[in-house]
Amino acid sequence: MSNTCKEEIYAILEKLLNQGKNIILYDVEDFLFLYKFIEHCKKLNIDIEVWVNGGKFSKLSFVRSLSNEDFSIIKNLYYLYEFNDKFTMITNDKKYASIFNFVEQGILDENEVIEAILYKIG
Amino acid sequence: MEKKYYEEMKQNIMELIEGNKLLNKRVYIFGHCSASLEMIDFLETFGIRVVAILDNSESKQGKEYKNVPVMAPKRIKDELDSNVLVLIISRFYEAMHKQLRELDYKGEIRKIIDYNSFAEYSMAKDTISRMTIREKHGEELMLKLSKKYPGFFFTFCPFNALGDVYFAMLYWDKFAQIRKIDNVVFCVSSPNLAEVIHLFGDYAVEVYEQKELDAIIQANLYTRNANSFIAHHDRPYVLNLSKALFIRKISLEDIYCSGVYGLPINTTPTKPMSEGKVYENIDAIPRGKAVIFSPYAKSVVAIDLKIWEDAVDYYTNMGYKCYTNVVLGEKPLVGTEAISPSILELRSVVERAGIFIGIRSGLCDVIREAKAKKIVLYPDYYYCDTTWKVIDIYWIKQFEYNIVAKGDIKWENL
Repeated sequence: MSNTCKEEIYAILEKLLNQGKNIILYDVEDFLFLYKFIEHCKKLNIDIEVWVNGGKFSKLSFVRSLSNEDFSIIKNLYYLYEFNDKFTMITNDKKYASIFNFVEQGILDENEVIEAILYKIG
Repeated sequence: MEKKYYEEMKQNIMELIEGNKLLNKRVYIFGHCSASLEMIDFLETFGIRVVAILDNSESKQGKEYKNVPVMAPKRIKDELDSNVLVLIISRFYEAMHKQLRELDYKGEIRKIIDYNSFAEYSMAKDTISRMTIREKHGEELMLKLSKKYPGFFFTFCPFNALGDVYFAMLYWDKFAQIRKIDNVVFCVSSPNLAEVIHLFGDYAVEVYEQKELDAIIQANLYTRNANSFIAHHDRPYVLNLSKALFIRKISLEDIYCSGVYGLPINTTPTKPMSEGKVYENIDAIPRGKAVIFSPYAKSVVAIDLKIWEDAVDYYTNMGYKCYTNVVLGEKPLVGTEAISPSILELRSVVERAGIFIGIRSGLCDVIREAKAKKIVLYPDYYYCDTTWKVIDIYWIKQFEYNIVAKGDIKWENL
């Protein structure tokens, strides 16, 4: 997982998006949820890549591991503007609303959150 | 549909008409939502009939809007005429475009609205450069704001909607207690929204032009400012919150309580501290013998004029003086007098009159605590592209009557 320069990682991302791939940047410290998410993607056979920070899950299907720097580059780009509606981020940032709040308050369970996030994707 | 999107829709449709792009075409719309219905209404004014609305939701298929049927997208393959045009006004343009092509539809597809200034679907260098400039401008604005309000917490209401801001304020206090926020400044895009905030207390409020507000919000996202919060259920794009509605029916108020603020679902909302101001011409309104009608809302499909006319006739015959709440060039309903109280004066007007009948809009939230008989009418359509009706999401328990406006309403029974 070497660092890639900004232009290179943008080019990789753009190529995948132009090919019709859905990309999710996974920015949550809950890797059990990630496993469930991947299982759900497999079941639905969705054309998706989940980009994670670090190499721990590089052997999981659908997952692409990024270096810390590359992950930051993409996250910064997404926070700069919405550059493609096939790219989204899963985050539980407390600076705005979150679908995970519904889980914490018992309105949805995790499987329903996954179903919601993947709705109309693929 | 928000006014600016409505204007964009009109402009794009007019360009198609003027360029003869709709001439002799069989027009379909992909995606059944309120924006699609408004587009049908607009096309109708030019004598353009939509053949069908395509929608993936089975619960919507088979329904109709003004005799325009809703059908499954695969039905486009039954279309024998080569002169077909599919219009897409939904946010999910890319996915819908792909689906049509995968159905082997080779005809023309047009995107009618580009949804928000945060979205610019390109990774070209000049786009990134422009967005960077915008973000830097947002940082400059944020710096000025921070200097004006040192030590304050910043809360952004990104969308120009009375109801959204009202909901944001209902649960602000409880949220602020948990987060230990003492001093806050709210940033909004119009003076009317500032008035809504002031119903709940003497808060600091800054009003920005929409583009400036978008820039400052973007800067807060980009810099991960921990001293800020975006108090909205659907803006900006980083949220996945609204997707929950594809799975579960959740009222908008609960969305704000639990989804936006992370509070337990049974949290008691804060009521407005102030009843507002007294309308300056209040004495002209017959006490308890008047009706305030509110038939207009910028982001809502219009209700059949006959429903309003019948209501005006009924109450006039019963001896009530009828008024229409109007702003900026709106015309009062026939047989009523125009009245234009400010946001802060609305409650006094409604309570003086005794009866309020309005289309479901943010204005209804502003007067929901008013001591009067209150009736709210809902257009009969779905909330965005969910399977829930608008009345399911926007129901107001403080109103005596929440009614889907279709067919005849028996006003004498209310």
